[in-house]
Amino acid sequence: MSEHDCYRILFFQMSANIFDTGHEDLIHDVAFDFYGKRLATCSSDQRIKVWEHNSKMNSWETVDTWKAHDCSILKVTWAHPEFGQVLASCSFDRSVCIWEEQENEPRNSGRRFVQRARIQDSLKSVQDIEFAPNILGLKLAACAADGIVRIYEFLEVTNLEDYTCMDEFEINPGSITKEVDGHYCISWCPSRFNPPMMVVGCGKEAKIFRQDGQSKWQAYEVLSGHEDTVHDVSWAPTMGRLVSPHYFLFSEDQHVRIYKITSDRTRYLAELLCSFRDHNVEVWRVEWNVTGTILSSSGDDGKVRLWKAADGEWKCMSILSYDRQSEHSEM
Amino acid sequence: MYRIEQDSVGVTFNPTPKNDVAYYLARKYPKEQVEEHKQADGKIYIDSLNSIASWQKLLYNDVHNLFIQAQQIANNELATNVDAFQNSSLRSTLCQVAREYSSILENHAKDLKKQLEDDAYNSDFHQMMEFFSIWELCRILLFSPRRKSTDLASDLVYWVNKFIPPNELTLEEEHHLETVLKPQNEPLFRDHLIKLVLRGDIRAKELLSRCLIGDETNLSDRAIESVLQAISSKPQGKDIEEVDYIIKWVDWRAECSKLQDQLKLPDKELQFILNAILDILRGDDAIILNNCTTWADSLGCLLLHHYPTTTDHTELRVVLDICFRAKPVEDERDSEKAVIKFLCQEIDQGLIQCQNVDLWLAAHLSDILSKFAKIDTIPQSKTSSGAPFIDWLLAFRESCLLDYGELLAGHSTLWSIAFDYFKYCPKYGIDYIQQLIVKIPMDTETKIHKVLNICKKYDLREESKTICKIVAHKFLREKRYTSSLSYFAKANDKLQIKLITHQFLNDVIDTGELKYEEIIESLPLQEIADTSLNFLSQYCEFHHLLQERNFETAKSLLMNLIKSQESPKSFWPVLLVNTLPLLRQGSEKSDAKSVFTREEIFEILCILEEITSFHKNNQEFEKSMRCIMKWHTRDNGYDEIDDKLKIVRLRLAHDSAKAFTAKRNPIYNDFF
Repeated sequence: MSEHDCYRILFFQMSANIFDTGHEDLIHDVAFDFYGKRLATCSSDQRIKVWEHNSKMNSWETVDTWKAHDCSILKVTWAHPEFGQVLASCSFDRSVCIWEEQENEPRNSGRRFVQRARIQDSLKSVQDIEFAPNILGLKLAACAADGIVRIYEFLEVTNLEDYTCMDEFEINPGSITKEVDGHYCISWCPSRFNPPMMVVGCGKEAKIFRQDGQSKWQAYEVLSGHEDTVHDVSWAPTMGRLVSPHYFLFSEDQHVRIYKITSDRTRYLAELLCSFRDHNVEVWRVEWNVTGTILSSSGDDGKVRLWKAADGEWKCMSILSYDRQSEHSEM
Repeated sequence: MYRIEQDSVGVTFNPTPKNDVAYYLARKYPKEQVEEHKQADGKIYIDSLNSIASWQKLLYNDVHNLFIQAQQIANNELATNVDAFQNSSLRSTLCQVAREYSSILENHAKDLKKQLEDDAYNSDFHQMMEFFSIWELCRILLFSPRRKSTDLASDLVYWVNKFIPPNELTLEEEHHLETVLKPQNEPLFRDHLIKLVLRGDIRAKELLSRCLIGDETNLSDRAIESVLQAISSKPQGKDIEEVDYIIKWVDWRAECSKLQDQLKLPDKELQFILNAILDILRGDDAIILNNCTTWADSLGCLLLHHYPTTTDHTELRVVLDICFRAKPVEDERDSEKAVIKFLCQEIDQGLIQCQNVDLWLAAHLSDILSKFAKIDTIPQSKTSSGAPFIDWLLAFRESCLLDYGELLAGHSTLWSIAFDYFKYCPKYGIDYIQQLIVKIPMDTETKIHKVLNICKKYDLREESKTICKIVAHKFLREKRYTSSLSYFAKANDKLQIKLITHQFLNDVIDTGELKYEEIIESLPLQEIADTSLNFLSQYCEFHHLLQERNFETAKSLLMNLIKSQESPKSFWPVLLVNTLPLLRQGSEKSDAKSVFTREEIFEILCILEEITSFHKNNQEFEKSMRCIMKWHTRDNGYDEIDDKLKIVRLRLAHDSAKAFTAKRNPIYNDFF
């Protein structure tokens, strides 16, 4: 954490926009597109919905809704726009699907997003997916409950049917139990100055994977000591303002933890910067903002907490309640 | 494995400087793995962390040029001048900049005040006034030119009167006081008059005059006239030397005391009022504080009536302590906290509080303060935690400018000025530019050019490439091929250009027509210098030459195209059937001259052989041939072909024979 970040006190004017997605079941994931103008939502109702913000009306309007999988859809994510309007989804039905927008198809026709690929390599449910930083090309990492991370590459943006599984590696090689409490999560390192690497949450550990000299993905650092399952990991944007790269993760032991990662020639060193227990219940999701200066966490307490560094410490600057009884705490 | 149904709240950030947070009730585990199912709740809440009101937008836009001007002044002066005289010149220029900021703030406050007439409680106006008051206070305390000592007190009195004015009478109250015969008997009159005297408001004289009955011989009238005279004759420090002012002020206070001693009126109400006025005028702390409502009110009144010669911040602190003791601070607002910190010379703490008032305020105050600090004119050397103030200030300035710039970058119209703020952040500015420039939505061509110009300005090649690729894809989806190819070329994305040109070539395979000729012709090919586009351009040129019956040049061009092997193999059959009109032309000639040289025939035969063997197990080739045979028909004016291109082989054999004959006949040797 850089010195001058310590002096921040935040002032935010909150203005809420609420809309009903109309999903017939609970939502599993929501993803903004690159410009924040679109949202993709997925649910246990096996459907994906894409929304677009109408700035004149300040409302979110559906672009399309379609049945995308045969089971609950667990994650949805947008590709970088240099590859077009491309979405990926993963499901309990063990598949990963790639969807591309067809602008000649009418909105809300159910045909606006066409399936370009349906990948079913996993033996168990696919739990998390994330596109690699655009500098690496159109690549998608998927981690499944069978304990394997698979990296797919799409060589021609105009032909997304043509993909190859360029790499796959076991998260816990040699482990008898492939599924560690049913939860794996993944996050690519966004730095374009580092070799491709990612952090994978697996059980009570998180591992930093990177390709070795033979282009094999290896775990270079294991962050252990968590009291329960790691539910989400998020690598911070590589802005110089924060000592970068670093990422944070959280676990079922009700903690949000921020780690600073440094590397020498042979390995990565992870230093625990801080650990919060404010939610006091399971923390489910964590994410950084675009500049890596604010992080959000949410959990079973129905609250979203926003964190910011001030006076040398990360402090909660605001609490948002799902029931809209918002509290704003000042640092 | 079945689990007990659990839900939680999911959260995601809008990955742009808008910093919206979306959150929703999330199912933690797949429905298929849980025993009981809860009712669906598909609501998404989106809170915007960075919002800019319309009045803020206008202000932010207006002050931007002044910010740039301040940077240029400071950079130029500090780069070239170091001596004390020039520091003084820089100081006075920066003071002028601070005044211009004040003028802009005042103009915007006036505009908002006009709206106040329509809207009884306009929070925008009050918010605007809050940070105008902080700016003005800092200008008085920190950014004013070197002053006479008396100016500090008079400037602070001006500040208190401007930003914490006394309550005005309502129209009804005014009307009531105008109609009463003896206003001095009215508590409302008395309170209001004393308030005006306390604040040194000129209207006090007019109000007091209402107690006159118009009889010069009357004792009360004479007393009132004397008090009015005392108010009028109060020495002003502005136009005289400080020592002279102090002497005059001491004398004048003695006169007031004397007048008060002589004051004995039958009208007890008037006696009370005039006594109170004279108490105030001669600077009685207890009376003044008793009649004040807040610490700020007290500060203005004490400085005006008791401490007008307050010369420095130590003396000011003494007055402030009196005010705080008499009128403790209650229910501090962020702006009030900032004001107190600045008055107490805890500048670092004041700036921190300003962040809660408005990011603009914190960013611009710390910016101009840092410039004054560089020429040693800020009366603080350490922060409250003991760190060197200048180091802290420079870091704080950058932090505020980055946050303010981030706020602007997320706005639909202010985004471009954000990058001017990042530019002046020496440590992390370029990181912000790199990270956020790609996040600007490309809604219009103008915006695209503007964004690319920013990339060019900061030599951001990778970002420029990324933006060009995004734009190119957008145009490609809209089937605007010229624009798409231009931007792919700018992004140096040869693969995509190749894919698009192959798409064009496939169209030729399908239809035999050059639908995209105009697109190719409109591109600056020399500039783009892409082999696949050049191939397509030359292929178009080949057809032009055929139409113009310039067979010799057409043949050379076709041979270049064949030799280049730039096209996909699926297109080779097209190139081969394109030899047919040339071969036919040769066979129709009466002379025995061949169209192709032996080497060229050999080249074509090799290609033919390759695709024929290629043909054996290649569905793509067969597909190409099936397409070509559909349009390459006698009805369309072409030679009839079969799927093995026998006619090409036959014509080549014929042409080869001619070439052979020509070689045997020395007459034709000259032609080879």
